[in-house]
Amino acid sequence: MEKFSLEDIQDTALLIEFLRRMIIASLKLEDLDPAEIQEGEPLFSEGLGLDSLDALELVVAIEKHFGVVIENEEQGKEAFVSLTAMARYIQREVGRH
Amino acid sequence: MSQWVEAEVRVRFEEVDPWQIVWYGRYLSYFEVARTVLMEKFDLLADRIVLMGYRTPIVSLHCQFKAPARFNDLLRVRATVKVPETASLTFLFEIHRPADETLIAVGETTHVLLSEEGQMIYKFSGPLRERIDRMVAFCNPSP
Repeated sequence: MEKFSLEDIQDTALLIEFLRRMIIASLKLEDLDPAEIQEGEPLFSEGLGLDSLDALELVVAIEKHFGVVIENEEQGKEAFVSLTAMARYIQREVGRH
Repeated sequence: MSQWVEAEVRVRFEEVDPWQIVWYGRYLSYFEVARTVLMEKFDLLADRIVLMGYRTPIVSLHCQFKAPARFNDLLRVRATVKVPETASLTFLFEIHRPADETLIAVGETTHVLLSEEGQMIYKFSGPLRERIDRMVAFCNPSP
């Protein structure tokens, strides 16, 4: 998939749009319309229904596209709550480097 | 081409069902015999991993049953591991009966890594990673 320019990292709408496509590409959910992933919807269990192996795929995708490393479930809990939470997490962590 | 490790298993009477063939759940134990040989080779047996503060539960399991095995068959079980793309390990298995060169079953298990507290680990690191890297390199030699 295309690259995300880190200069646009604080543009939340643009970032969330990219994250929707990144989730679909990395989890091979091509049948899913990106718009169906709601910004505030939980990504795991009762929301989009992702599982632990999906979390590992997202960790790899986020590191590849943004250089942000999520080491464990504790950190992931914050990042994987929803699309909005993921965008906020990436914006904050990219700013630290 | 992957490098495999092998183990031999003799089918016991208690493993055979009323149809006189190995009950399907037993194949998973046979897979584990070969996986144990592989893990031990790289000091990655479950008790060693526990000493390092981790658990490696299975989160996914597949098995295809190609032909029935029977009481007292001598089976050859092979195991290898795929190159991991995430912090998980996927082992592949094959069970053959050398006597008539029959493929009995093929399978796959995927394991993730948990801390002692039950938290999932998203990145391999430290001595555990070194051992995993050595096992992966052994099973997947560069061409």
